[in-house]
Amino acid sequence: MGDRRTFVLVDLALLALLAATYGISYLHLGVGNAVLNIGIAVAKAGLVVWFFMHLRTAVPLVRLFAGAALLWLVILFALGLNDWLTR
Amino acid sequence: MAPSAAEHTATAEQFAAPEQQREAAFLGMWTFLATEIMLFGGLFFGIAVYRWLHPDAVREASQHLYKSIGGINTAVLLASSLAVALAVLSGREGDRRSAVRNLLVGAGLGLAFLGIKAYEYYLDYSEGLMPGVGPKPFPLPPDSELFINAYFFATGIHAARADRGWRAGGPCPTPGDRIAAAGSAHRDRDRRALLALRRHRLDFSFPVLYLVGG
Repeated sequence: MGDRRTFVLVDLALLALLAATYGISYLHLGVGNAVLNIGIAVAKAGLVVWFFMHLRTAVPLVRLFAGAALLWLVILFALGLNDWLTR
Repeated sequence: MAPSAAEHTATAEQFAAPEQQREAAFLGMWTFLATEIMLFGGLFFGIAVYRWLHPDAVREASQHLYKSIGGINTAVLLASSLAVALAVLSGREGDRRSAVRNLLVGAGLGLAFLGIKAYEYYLDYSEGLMPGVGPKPFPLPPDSELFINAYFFATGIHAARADRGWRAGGPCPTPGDRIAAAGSAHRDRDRRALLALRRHRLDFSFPVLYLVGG
């Protein structure tokens, strides 16, 4: 029963974060909007992969593979934006 | 010793134990998900750069999209994700009835998502936002067009995936039957967990496309 409770709580947290992004879009915070949106998106992704996608109970090798995807994503954005943001 | 019938259905012959099979399957699925992350990462990166180059055009285009429909649909997907996660849990506990019920709820919510998406596309079409077709010319500045095309591309891929994902019981014409059939053996249970894993790819198109207007 504990797992069920966790899933429901995680889903409620995700819905709350979704509502937060939606609400923030009505505030005009300049660059703050983008920062908050990205922060919330990262938090949501973390909750989904850790709980719903079972990384919490996965063996280290599977976690390593998931981490590799994240690493390449960071490389894609860091090297890519490196060009655009320094012109 | 020859494996019993139960063991035979539980594990494919190349695996020594069900746990090993499960690990291999999860590893394979995560490898696939990593390529998926690369696909959407590239797309979202393109949108970010385009937003950087044409901030005003992207802001105007983003404000033309239906933020409330996008938000509601994301909530529908989250609810459907929960149903599928609970179904996997029930399957693991051996509670077939509850697994089937939760899968059907998840499938129903997936269908609702597709219906809402179709309605949203229809509204976009009526406004002339769809590339190449529509009753009106493109209503926004020319620089917005590529962003709107990226919106259709990203949400279109996503809708196609949701269409595949709602049949979480397996590739079959009658999902109910297959879901019921999938309730028994270990191997099917793992397969269901894997399809559920694919199902949980989170919808990031909402903040990226609908909220970049700021």
